Amino acid sequence: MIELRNVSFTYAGSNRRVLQNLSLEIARGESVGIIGPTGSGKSTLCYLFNGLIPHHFSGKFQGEVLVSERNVMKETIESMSQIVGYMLQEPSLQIASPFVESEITFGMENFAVPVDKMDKRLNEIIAELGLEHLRYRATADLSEGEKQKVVLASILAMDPSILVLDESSSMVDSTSKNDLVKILTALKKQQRTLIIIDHDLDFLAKIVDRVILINNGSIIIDGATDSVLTNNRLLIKNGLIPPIFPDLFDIFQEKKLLDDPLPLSLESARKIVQKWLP
Amino acid sequence: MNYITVDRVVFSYRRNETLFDGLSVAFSLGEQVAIIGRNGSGKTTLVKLIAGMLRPQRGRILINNETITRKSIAEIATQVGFVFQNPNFMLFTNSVEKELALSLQHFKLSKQEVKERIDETLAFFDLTNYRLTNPRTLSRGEKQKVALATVLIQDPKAIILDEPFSGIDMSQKLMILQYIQKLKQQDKLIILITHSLDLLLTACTKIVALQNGQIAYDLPLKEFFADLTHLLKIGLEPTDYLSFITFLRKKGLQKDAIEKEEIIAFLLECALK
Repeated sequence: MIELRNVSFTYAGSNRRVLQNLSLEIARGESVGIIGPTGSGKSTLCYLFNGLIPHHFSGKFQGEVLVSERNVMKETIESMSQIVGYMLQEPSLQIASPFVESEITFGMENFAVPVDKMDKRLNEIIAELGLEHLRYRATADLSEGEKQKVVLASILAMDPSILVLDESSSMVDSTSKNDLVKILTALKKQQRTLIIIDHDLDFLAKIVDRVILINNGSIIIDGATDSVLTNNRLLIKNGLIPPIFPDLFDIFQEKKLLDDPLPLSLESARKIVQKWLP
Repeated sequence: MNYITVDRVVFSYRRNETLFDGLSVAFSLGEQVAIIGRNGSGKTTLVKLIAGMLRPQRGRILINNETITRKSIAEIATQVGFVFQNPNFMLFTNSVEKELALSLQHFKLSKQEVKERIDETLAFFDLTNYRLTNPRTLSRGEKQKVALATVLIQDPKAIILDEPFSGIDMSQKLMILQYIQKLKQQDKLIILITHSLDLLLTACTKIVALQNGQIAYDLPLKEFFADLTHLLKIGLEPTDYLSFITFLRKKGLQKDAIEKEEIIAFLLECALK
């Protein structure tokens, strides 16, 4: 679905290579988390998937990016946006309409989706994301967390086969975050490709099957979620704090009080305690 | 004594849709208060009213026993500092030093005093080496720190932080948290809005929980978290960490133990049994 071949990138006006000779493949239907400390190149990497690099951000670009068998270099951002839904870190930058309803249909209108089909999709998406209470509100009056949900709705309305989320859980409350986990898990089941950048590793652990850790523009490790997110030493070495349960139980592994692997989920943490105190 | 008093405030963004219908709440110096609630519950609106960025339609707000009705935002800012969600909205100049100097321009200080305050603030935030750095080139977490410094250099008695942890990685979150802890020792009033429930556990001593524009709870932190139904009642689901604590309580963990060290100590007891 996505293939990067020896990609390097340097932003115009800078002499630091943000991405360094990066190669990777992501198959259709995969769910991938991209992690790394602030400034490691995570967002830059994701700008490649819909052509924001090189078409929007100028700089020195090398290598090849293929998305859905198309060479991103030869496509436009508009054509890519029908395949790749991209949710930016700051929802305010992505809201174009004065009202929630028109915001959700904005993308569909641009691609001349017939009105009856558009209405049907609007209703579906509002129900799916539980946005009934926001439907007739002005976008300017929404809280940041609400804006984030509306942006997600407008992206999903376009039915993209690849969804890229850049820090989209950072401003939503704990309940909405759990809702987001459910929504993304459902999208995963529909065989959509999910690429999620998030600083909340516990949130990622619940959704993605694969995690890529990048630092200084290079891939440090690319593996199964369970193995990468419980590798405390490697995470710390790369400026990250391990997820909650691997962090809490780290000392037990060190003291050889734990036979099991480090727990990543609430469920596996409970099981360990159950064993200790049946 | 109350430093900030919100007294029967009525406020709405739109006609026929009242957000606050007589809201009252008070904050004292030396408190670290977390305001929590669902998206859209009125958290940011409440602090914007306190900072004078929004004005109540009825009721009044007192800071240090004076009504703020006729005060400008800039006047209020000398008493109550405000750190926005997005640090990019707070940075205007091309060096950290100028950014800090800009915050002091209303204070009629001598050059020497300005220099001293800047030196002090840079040292407090470990920013001495960044004195001449352009804030725009810093990472989001570092920008957040500079934004916090520009507010604190004005030495307000109270400081409001609106979602200071969003968009930054955990190690930078912990760094911001460290400075909040450091401020605790200065008897300031800290008001923190955040969705990161796990982080506020170590930063705060009191919880003000908002629901649909009303104060649902105003409790000491440990009392609030001693019973997780408090969270559920305001529509917030507990984090995995809080759920785990609830589970451990059934295994004998004390009700007021919520910090990581306390949990590890309890788990160690369990493992060695």
